[in-house]
Amino acid sequence: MGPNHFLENLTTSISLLVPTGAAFILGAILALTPIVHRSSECEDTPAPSTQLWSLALLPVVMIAFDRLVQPVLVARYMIPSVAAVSALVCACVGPIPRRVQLGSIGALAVLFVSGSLALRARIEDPDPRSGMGVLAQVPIDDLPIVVDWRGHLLPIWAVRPGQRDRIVFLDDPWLTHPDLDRSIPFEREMVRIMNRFYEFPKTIGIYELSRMNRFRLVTEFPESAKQRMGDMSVVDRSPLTFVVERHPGSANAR
Amino acid sequence: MSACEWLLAAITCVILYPAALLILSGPRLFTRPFWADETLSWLIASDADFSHAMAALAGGVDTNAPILHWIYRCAGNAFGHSPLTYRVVSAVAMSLGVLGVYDSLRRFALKLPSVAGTLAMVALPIVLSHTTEVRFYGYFLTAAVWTCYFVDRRFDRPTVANAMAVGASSIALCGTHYFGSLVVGCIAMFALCRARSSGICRAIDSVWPTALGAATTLCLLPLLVTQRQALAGAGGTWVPITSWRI
Repeated sequence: MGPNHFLENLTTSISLLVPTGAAFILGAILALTPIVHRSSECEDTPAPSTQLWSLALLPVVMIAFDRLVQPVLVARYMIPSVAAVSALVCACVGPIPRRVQLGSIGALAVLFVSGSLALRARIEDPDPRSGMGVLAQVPIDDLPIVVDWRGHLLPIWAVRPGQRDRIVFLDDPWLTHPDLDRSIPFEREMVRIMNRFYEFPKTIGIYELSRMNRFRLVTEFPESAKQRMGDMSVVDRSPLTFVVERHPGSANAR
Repeated sequence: MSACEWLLAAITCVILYPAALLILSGPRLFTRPFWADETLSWLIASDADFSHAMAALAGGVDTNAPILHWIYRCAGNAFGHSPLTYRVVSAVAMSLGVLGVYDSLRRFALKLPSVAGTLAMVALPIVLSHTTEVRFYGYFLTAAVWTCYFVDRRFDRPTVANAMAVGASSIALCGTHYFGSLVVGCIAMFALCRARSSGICRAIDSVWPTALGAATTLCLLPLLVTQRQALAGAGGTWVPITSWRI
């Protein structure tokens, strides 16, 4: 994740930032005009001035918070601002003829249906790097499972109670990745905290791996898996999982 | 809005919206296993020992405010601590938020624009994907929307009941997520700007109960501090530093 390319990552940001940006501008205009109630009693004046506009301020406040306090620019943290999008659409649809309004509702309903179907596709065919994707890559067998990423470990642990005693977290102090410089220490610290309160996940050091003859490695860093396992034999099984075996006579994993 | 229209809106939002999602996105939307952060919600909410669960929360197992864990705990104790229970509870919460948006828009706009506005929100991918998420964001949105709604109502009718409603929704907002206090700030700032032509006293009168939200954040400050201390060694957050390169 490295630097958080919030603007660059348009697929996650555009659905939130563009409409809320527009809502912010229109909301600012409305904030400076007096409140006018325009409900069914005044059928001819449909421009809303609802308090929902205030939620368009949130991205602005969050950007300031991000600059001044700590990084917080994650789309879901700003989710209340989607309500300002409602106010924006309501204000845009209000003045147009009734037939066009009905057409707009139809178009939005199509968007809802296509979004729901896209969600179904994501659930049925999950991204191999997601928790559900990783889960699908780990077969139910007797091999010990060594995981180097808490985000992969927790779903396996939660869903496979029968395999819990064979799941360990690989605590590798030398693990680095240019894009995950903040996440790696955070994940390791979170595992230590979870251990303190729930006595799981069990952890294993990189040198202790050499005592294991055969295990399944689930890694967030498949590109460096072979190098990290040293002289052990590493066989690819799926994008993020490997079967690792000790060569007869080899002593260390590094 | 008539009682009949409100009832129809409530049925549409709270029953038909999750039902449409169930049909379109499939039953696995509600039964799929937890992903990593959801596991943390489940771990704390299903902890048999409440005081241990709260100690774990304070110790940084999860780094959020506690209200949501309490909600899942109650639902889980009643219906079982399963993904289905938690996801249904999340969907109900998000549905109430959708209803709140319609009600808020309807106070100022006609039916069709209000329907269009509401539909525009639920069609957003971020809303669809968080409707059944066992995390904070659906509740966060819902609490924010209802706070806006009650501030509007309080402005119209400065009754004690409306003040209590603003206060309660603000407490829910700030008790669900620490950024709730930022949302409360946005709501109060907008209300004060918007209502200035009606007199600053009336504007303040409509938003002062949101101070209860800020007070909630103050009450949660010790929890936040212990969570931050627990994660001090890891930089306090996983969120990478933002780059504004396009």
